[in-house]
Amino acid sequence: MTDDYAVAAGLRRGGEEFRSVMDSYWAPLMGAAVNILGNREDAEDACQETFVQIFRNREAYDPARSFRNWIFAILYRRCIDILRKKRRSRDAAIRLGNELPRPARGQGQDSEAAGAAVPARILALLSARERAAVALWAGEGFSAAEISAVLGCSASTARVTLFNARRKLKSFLENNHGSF
Amino acid sequence: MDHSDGIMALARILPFASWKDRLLVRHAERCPACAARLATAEEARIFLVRIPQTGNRVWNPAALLGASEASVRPEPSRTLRLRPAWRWTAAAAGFGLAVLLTWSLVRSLSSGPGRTGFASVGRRTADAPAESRIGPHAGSGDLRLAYIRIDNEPARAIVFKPRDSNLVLVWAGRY
Repeated sequence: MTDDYAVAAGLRRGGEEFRSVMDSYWAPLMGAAVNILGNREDAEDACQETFVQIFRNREAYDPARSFRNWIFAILYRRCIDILRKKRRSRDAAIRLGNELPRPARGQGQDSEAAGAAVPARILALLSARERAAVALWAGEGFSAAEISAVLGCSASTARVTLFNARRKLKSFLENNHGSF
Repeated sequence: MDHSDGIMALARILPFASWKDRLLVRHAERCPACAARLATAEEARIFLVRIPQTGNRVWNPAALLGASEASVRPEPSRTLRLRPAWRWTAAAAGFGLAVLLTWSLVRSLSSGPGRTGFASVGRRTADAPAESRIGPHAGSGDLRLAYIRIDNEPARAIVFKPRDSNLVLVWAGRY
């Protein structure tokens, strides 16, 4: 808790202190974003938007709350926004169908390949909320209560979300043990 | 098939997270057989991407901070964008409520008893004496507005008769 007060003071001072705080959180935030969104480009956008939002609202941060939960909650909302935008554009593309120009051969395949990195395995298995829960739990060591603060749900819902995700992952591992 | 299969099946059909949490998750956390059906943190990490802390920084903090600090007027937040919409919504709701109240008042008055052929319009006061004369058109049952005067000067009159109602509303004002 004392750390959060120090962080809050650093945030308010801005400048280098803000940057050093953000530097220390960049890798965990980026990792969570990649695991939720499934590709690095969108994850970078989510992280940048998160940092900008933190910077703009740094005066509003209440050090009584966990700083880590606060910034991951902002990141999670940014990721959900990006996924919604992508879903809308994908739906629009489906509606337009053949009217959209097709990318030239080779274009976009690189980014597809880059996006189909490791998280692609969990993208197909889990929902965005479940991916976030797993990334926070296994990747960052969040408890169910902390995950609920990030996801904006009750601790029960967070536990059940994590339960379902872990069940799906275990089932996948048992059925595909040869490929791992 | 052990009890874990039943637990997992129950996990799918129970409708509420609180029920699932109480009956299943907490049980699974304690029961070794059920816990074995869940991926451990170590197993879950197989699926996750880890970004090294010393990896290539893809964002430029200085530029990002500079852009944020340089923006005198930050991009309007969602709440700010919604504020005019809320005002319009509240105004529209108030107007709709006023129309509804007027309509219900008109309806209740039009169905009320004790209607006479004559009605006074306006209120005679020392400040704004007004007089008028309306009465039934001979034999037809229609109302005729003869005149409206305010301070002994002709006044502007607006007559309104709601549809499906016998009530006639008359507004009078100075020219």
